[in-house]
Amino acid sequence: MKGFLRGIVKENPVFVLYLGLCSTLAITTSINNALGMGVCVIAVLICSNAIISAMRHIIPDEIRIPVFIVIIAALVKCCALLLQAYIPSIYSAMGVYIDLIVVNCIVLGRAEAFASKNGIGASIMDGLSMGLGYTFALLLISLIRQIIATGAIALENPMSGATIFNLTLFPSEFTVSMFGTPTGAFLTFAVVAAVFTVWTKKDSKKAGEK
Amino acid sequence: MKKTAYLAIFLAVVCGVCGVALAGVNAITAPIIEAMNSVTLADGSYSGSANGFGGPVNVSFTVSGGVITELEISGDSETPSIGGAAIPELQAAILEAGTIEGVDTIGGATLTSNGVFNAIRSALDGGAGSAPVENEPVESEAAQPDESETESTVETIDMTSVGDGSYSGSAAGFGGDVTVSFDVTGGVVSNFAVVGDGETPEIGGAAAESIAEAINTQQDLNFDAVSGATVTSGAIRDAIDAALQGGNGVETPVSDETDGQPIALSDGSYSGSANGFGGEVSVSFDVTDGTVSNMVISAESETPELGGAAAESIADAINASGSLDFDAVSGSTVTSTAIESAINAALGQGE
Amino acid sequence: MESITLFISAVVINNIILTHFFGMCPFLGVSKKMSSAVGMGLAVTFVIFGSSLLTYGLYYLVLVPLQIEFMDLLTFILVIAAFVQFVEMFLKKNSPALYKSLGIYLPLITTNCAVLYVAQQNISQGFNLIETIIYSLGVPLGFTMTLCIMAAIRGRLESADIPEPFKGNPIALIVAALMAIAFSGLGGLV
Repeated sequence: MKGFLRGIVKENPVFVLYLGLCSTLAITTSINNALGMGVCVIAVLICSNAIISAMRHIIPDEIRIPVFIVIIAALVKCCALLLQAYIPSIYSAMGVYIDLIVVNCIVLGRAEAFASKNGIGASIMDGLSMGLGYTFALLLISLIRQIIATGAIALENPMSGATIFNLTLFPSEFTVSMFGTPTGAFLTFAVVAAVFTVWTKKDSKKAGEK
Repeated sequence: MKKTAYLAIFLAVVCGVCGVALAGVNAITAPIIEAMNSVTLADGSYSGSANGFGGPVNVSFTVSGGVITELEISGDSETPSIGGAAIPELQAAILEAGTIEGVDTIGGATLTSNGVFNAIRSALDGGAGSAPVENEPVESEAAQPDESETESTVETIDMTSVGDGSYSGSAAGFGGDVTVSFDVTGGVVSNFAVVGDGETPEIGGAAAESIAEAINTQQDLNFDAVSGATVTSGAIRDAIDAALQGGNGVETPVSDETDGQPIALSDGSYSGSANGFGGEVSVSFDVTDGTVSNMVISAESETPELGGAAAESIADAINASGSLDFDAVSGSTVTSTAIESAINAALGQGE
Repeated sequence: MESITLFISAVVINNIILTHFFGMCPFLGVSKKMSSAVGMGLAVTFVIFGSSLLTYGLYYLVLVPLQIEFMDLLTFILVIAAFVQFVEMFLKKNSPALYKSLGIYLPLITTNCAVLYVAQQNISQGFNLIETIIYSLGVPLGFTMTLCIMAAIRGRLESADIPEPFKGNPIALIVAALMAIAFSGLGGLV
């Protein structure tokens, strides 16, 4: 359980390890998009970790990075095709960022650091854990950005377009639409990252004192 | 050399396996994607929306003779210099081609462009957020009551010339009738409510809500049409005009009767309100040849399952029987009494 | 699109880091010293330019005729990985100092979103060869420019009194936010 939580807080891939930033900053304009991306990354992470872990004894060491990349690329492209056919709304919302999961440092990083050295079960759990940490990061940032930029949070079912909820939290005169732009993304990320730094330092201080 | 050969072959094999798997997935998904991208252009008026770059992109367009002839696009959440600037270009390109097939996305504004295309596609498919409207409403738009136009450049209503009283009126909206009711006191509007069950919830319905809010906040009957919900906005404006033209319940002569007595009704449109359980309850109805019709009771502040449900069943009962007598609904006495008071207020008997 | 407009748009208006967020890892990691920033920028420029031309040719000469466009992601990333490997070997032999200063970030150019993004954009925007050249030179130049500006600012930040939680990457991100606003003002140029 501790290992599982590790990926979400202590070793959060986004706020602590600073991996996978491109998509994080770009996709977090709404929680719908964030969820869509998060779910895709979790799916790819679990599958790639599982496959690479299963093959870890037969992949020659010298070409391991290219082999990882090929496997991940194939998985991502499958994901993209399936999304385009069956849930086109998510596909068009995420646009170019789906294909860029291939170069999402998280996926390749976990394959190299964990899946190539551990069993299938553990690798799957690691994929799930890191994926959830990533999704958590995405949701956190997009929640902040969406609330400040539009004054409301809304979630809609991507497959039917039906609104699941739409809560207006404060009137639109008070929104700061800058938070929907890249500037807002950098700012939000900076502040949340700083908060995380303080939080994890406190934790490790406590652990040190014990 | 042997080692290098082995490495190369291994990599090639992995690529091959992945390639085959991909080809398989592609074979399954390609036909579906192909079908989604082709568009059939049936004549009519459409409106739809889809996700652009920073938010939704709304389109409304007309197809006649199998070709897109009019097109409005709005994308307020797009980056002004990129997606926002791309929108007029896209509009021109689509209108020139008369369709979206073969129209390229605008470089640097791919997400916005795809948002526009997807919005048009979803409108044509009758998908979420829109329904194709056949030729009739297109004609009836032009044949609207002459007091108003359906564009946002409507004549301003001079609030100082509107007499005090309660008003209600209705007009044809996008998918059905749109009914408005409001009070005017000293040139100031209050209690503006609009009901439009036939409107598309996310477009016309949402527009109706925001227009009602705007009118109640500014206390003025003049409002800005909501882009993407032109028909509904126009209908609300027409309904307001109809209400102002058609007179209000307070002025129509009514025989004095007290509660409980059979009431002789003069023909006309009536509306009135009274305090219910959680807030105001308002009624509006028509009388033709002594028979009541189009009874609409709005009881937004009542407990939905009690007062709200009672209001519905009472309205149904009145419409069915054609008379204003009704039985109070047990468990919702306050609301029932309020409805009765509202009816009496409408008939000029005072509260 | 006019060539000059395309170039300016690629460098400044649709700046790859400040507008599209691509290339963030090296942006945060390598921008601490001006020398490594310049070196990284040049390396990235070379990789993007070279791999864009290669993938462009690959797409139109191989994938399209064989009707296997869906293999684009796989083949592009392989070409990029191979090209980066080639650059690595070249630098190791000819410029060991630069090779050392770039360290881990050199092989990481493979996973630099910017490289794959440019390769893909050349195709999806339907550029012809000239436009591809302009775009794949403009984007990494914009990247290099942003990287150098950031390095210069961070050099100054060294002597500033930064609150503890913000030291390191968070303050860099705030600087990026300010740069983003500044650059967005240039949006009206074209």
